[in-house]
Order: sequence, then structure tokens, then C-alpha cells
Amino acid sequence: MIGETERDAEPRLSQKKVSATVISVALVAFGLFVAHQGYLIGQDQSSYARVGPQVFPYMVGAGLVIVGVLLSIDALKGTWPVMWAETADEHALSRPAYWRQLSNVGLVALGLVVNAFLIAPLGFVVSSTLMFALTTRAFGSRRIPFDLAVGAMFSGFIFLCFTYALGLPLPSGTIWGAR
Amino acid sequence: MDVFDGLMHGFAVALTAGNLLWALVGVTLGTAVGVLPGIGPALTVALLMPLTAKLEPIGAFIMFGGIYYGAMYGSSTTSILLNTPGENSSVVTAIEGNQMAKRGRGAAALATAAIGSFVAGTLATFALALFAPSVVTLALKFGPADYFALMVLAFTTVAAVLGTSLLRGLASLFLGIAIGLVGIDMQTGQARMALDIPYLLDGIEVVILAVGLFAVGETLFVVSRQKLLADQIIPIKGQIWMTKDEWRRSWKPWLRGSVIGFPFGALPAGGAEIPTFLSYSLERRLSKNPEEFGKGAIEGVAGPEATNNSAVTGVLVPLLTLGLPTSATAAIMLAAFQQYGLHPGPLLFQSNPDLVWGLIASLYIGNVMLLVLNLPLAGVWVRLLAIPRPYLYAGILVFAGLGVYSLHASVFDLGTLCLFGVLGYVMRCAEIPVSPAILGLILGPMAEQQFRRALAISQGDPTVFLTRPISATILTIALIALVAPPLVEYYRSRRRRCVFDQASS
Repeated sequence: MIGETERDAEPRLSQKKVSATVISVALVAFGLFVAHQGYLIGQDQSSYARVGPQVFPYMVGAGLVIVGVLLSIDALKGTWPVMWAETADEHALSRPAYWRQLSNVGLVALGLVVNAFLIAPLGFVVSSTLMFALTTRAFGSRRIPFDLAVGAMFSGFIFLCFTYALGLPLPSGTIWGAR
Repeated sequence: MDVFDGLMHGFAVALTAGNLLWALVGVTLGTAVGVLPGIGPALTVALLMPLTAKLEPIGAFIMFGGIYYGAMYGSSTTSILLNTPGENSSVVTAIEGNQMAKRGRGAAALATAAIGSFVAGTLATFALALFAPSVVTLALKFGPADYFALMVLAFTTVAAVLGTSLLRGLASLFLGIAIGLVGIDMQTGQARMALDIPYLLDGIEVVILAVGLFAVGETLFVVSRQKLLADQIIPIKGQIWMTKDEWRRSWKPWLRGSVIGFPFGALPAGGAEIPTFLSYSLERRLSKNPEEFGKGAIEGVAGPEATNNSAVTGVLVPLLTLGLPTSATAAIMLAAFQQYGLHPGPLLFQSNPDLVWGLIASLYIGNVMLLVLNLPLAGVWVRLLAIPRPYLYAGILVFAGLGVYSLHASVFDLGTLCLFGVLGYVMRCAEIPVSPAILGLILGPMAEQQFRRALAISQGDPTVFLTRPISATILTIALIALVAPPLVEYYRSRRRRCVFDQASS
């Protein structure tokens, strides 16, 4: 039993290290990107302003690169643990429970994307209701029809408030014909 | 216009029926949304921004003032009853307040927080009215180099103060500034970091970043840890009103808190977190029964809550007089000002006295309303805490989508919101604070403008930042704020190691 815990503890640490290292590398890469974008603007700024639009991107890019490099030291030392999900079971990383938690994150994200894509064609009420139900599902609710009803009432109420009381019309959906 | 005239004029503006109504609506909504767990003041202000879209600027800002105070008060209710502080400055309140609630004195904790906030808010608003005009006079002497130095100071203190690690704070700050570069350069009209996407030419709105990082990022984070975070609401029971003894123990911490909080808020020094901790340790030292601290000492709620409210009022001094936000909430308020085409700064006091003084006067009124509203209605707010987690977060997401979509009715904005939500989730998992990013986004472009203006005036001579006394002083302070904490930590750890070596040899 102890042996199993130890075997689990080792990959846990390295996985946290890898996540932290990836984040610091991403910061360095983003810094280089920002500096490159500054470079693309070009140096031919012979304007009276002396300091052209490329200077700040250089400064910010350099800042990101420096911070990213310094953070990568923290990451490799293991003093900066990054966990994408946690479960009640301490040693559950890379086990089904851990992946279930992560898939719930994906489910919420899916709801957001669905809302973004459907708000114009199907309208605010329908798209929000779908996002609402996906979110409650991700948070562990099993009563999907009930949640859909709650979501529809909630977003319907907001729709009416905004459209009639505040005078801020929300999209009612292009495929339903009426605008 | 001197202070007294200004205030009288402000009350004349704020006491009209319409503006009183907006203040009441703001206070009520601010409290109701601020009470919800997981929603701090910054997010409350960002989410409620669309509601003010159709109002006149004055009414809108009076409502904003109410939302600002209401949200602060609401989140202290949450930290007392649920032990989940919505923001760093409520951490201390959560420690003592939650213990009091567990001992059956939750109602007294809420009462001392409410009355303490009222006392501190009133005193601090008075200080704001008193000091703002002189800061304006001072600010008129500031040149671009000085403004740039001030912003650097705000950057460093925000990155160093918020969160656990200076490096991670800086990472967040630089991310925010980089996002602020997106769009058309204000001075030359060239597109930067827009990747030939027309949507990006207009730049990225602070509200989208704030809602993405706070609301969406927070939701994704909570769902990834949901089984661990089962929290308990403590029902209010026992005697509702504060006892005589509790009054006796509360009033001094209220006054001390008001005095500690204001200067910290008014200086560009990173908002309300440090003074609340200061107030807490001061109250513990002055208390006759320090052993009660950690187990529910009422001084530990009264002092920090008063400090917090005093500091958040102080934050309005640099915001209104210099246009310099020093907290995430203030950054969103500034974005709201900009939406109305208003640019806070010394000139605002001259060009829009109605708005500035009306806002200040309505802060007094909002304080009174909050007190009247919160003492009897505490039970109603508590019921909001009982919303089951799935519905709470689903509702937050619907509201987040609504808030962002109503800005420009743009689907691209919703896509950006998704991206920032994921970014917020990554940052939360990596314990990178999000507030510096929000400040970076709004302050970055302003800092760049002042930087380039200063260098244009000096004809490209970079020593301008060091030869002007004001900017040189401010930059020195910024350097100390950045370098001192790691140095102190280094020497402390070295001494510890020495002691350890001696002990082991």
C-alpha cells in the first residue's frame, strides 16, 4: 500500500513540474511574439515623436521573457506546483476521478462556446438555457429537464427585463423569423 | 469652487428623486450580487455595467457608487457566514467573523461590519471631499514624466502586493499590458498586434478581460475542484443586536480602522489588502484579551472592515483626481468613465463639477442607505447564499455572457470571453493573481502615452524621468517597493540558515 502511494507521488510531482514549465515557456514564447510584433511595425519611424509605436512592445516583450525565464527556475525546482484539477482523493492524479474533473471543465467550456455560436441564430434565451444546463451538469446536477426549465425561466426573465424595462434589446434569434 | 460649496452643490445634484432612486438601486443590486459567493466587488461592478448603459452619466455614476459600496459590503457578509473571502482585503474578516458566526454571534459580526463600514465610509468620504481638491491642484503641476512615474509605481505595488509571488504578479501585469497593446496605436494610427484581424483593431475592452478572468475563469476553476469545496453556511442565531459590551469593544476599532485605511487607499499603493492586515494586528496588540483573536474577537471584524471601507473610498482619490486606478475594481470604474467619454483627472473637477461632486455626495447617501438596508435585511442576503452551487455558477455564466454581449452585440466579444476564461482558469491553477492583468490592460496604454509624450517633450532624452524631482522620487519609491521585499526575504533566510548551521555543528 505504501509502495503504491510512493509510486503515485512521484509522477504527481513531475506532472506538476511539467505543467509549470509549460506555462513559463508559454510566457517566454508570448514575450518573443510581442517583441516580434513590435519589430514588424518597423524602425522607419523618423517622426518628431522620437519614440515610435515599436518601443513599448519591445519593453513588454522583454519583460515577459525575463519573467518567464525566472519562473521556469521555480518550475524546475518544483516550488511552483500547478494542478489542473483536484479531487477529494489525494492520490487520484492520472486516475479516472481526475479525468472526470477535467472533463467537467471541458463541459463548462463547451457551454460557453455553444452560447457564443448560437446566440445570434437561436437567440439569447435558447443559447443561454443550453449553457445553463451544460454548466449545472458539469457541477454534478442530474436533473437535466428540470435544469433546462430553470435556465429557460432565468434567461427568459432577464430577456424581458432587458428588452422592455431597460430598453436594451437582446437577440431573439434570426431563425425564428421575427426580429 | 471650494470644498463646502462643492459638497453643497453635490448634495443638490444627488438629492433629486431620480438620483436617489439610482443610488438605492445601485446599493441594493451591489449588495445582492456581492453577497453571492465567488463574486467579488470587481466582478460585481463589471457585471452590472450594462444596466447603466441607458442612463445619463450622472445617474450612472451615482448608481456605480452605490454598486461599489454595496459590493464591498456584500462580500464581507459572504466571508463572515461562509468563510470564502471574495477578495484579499476580506481575508481577515473571514478569519474572525466566521469564528464569531460559529459561536452564534454571526448577527453581531454582520452588525459591527455594517456599522463599522458606515462610520469609516462616512469619515473617508469626508476626507475624500477635503483632500481631492488639493490633490487636483498638485496634479495640475504634473508633467507626462511624472504621470509615467506614478503609473510605474502603481504597477510595481500592484504586482508586488497582490498575490503570493512577485514574479507571478509581474507575469500577470505584463500579460495585461501586452493585451493593452492590441489595436491601433493612439499616436501614429498604426495597427499593433492585430494580426490583420479587423475585430482586433479596436483593442480589447477591460470589461471582457475582467469578466473572463474573474467570472468564467473562476467558474472553470471551481468546477475542477468541486468535490473539495463543500462549504457550510452558518445560520444566524442568538441575539440579533450587538450587546453593550460588543458596542464598547467595537467603536474604537472603527475609528482606528477609518484612519488607517484612507491613506493606503489614497496612495497608489495597491489598495485595501495591507491596511486590513495592519488593522488586524494593531487591534490584537491593543486588545485586553488577545487570546480571543483567532477564536472570534469582535475587534478583529470591526477594525479590518472599517479599514477596508475607508481604503476603498481612498482609492477614489487617485481615480478621480489623477485618473489612476489602484485596484481592479477602480480599473473597471475607470473603464466605465471612459465609455461615457469622460477622462478622470484634474480637469474633470472643472469640466464636470456636477458629476464629481454629485458622486461624492451620493457616496454619503449610499452609506446611509447601506446601513438602513443591511441591518434589517441581513436575513434576506443570507438566503442568497443558499443557492445551490450548480445554479449559482450557471447563473453567473449567463450573466457574464449577457454583460459582454450587451457591450457591442458582438459574437467576437463572446469568443474573446471564452479565451480569457480559459486564461483565467490557467492563471488560477498556477496561482497567478489576475488583478494585475486587469490594471495592466487599462494602465498600460495610458502609461505608454505619457512615456512617449515625456520623451517627445525632452526630444528623446531618457534622463527626463530622473531629472524631474517628482518623477525621480516616485520612481525611487517604486524601485524600493520592487526590490526591498525579495532582499529582506533573502537576508532573513540567510540568517536563518546561519543559525541553523550553528545549531547543527
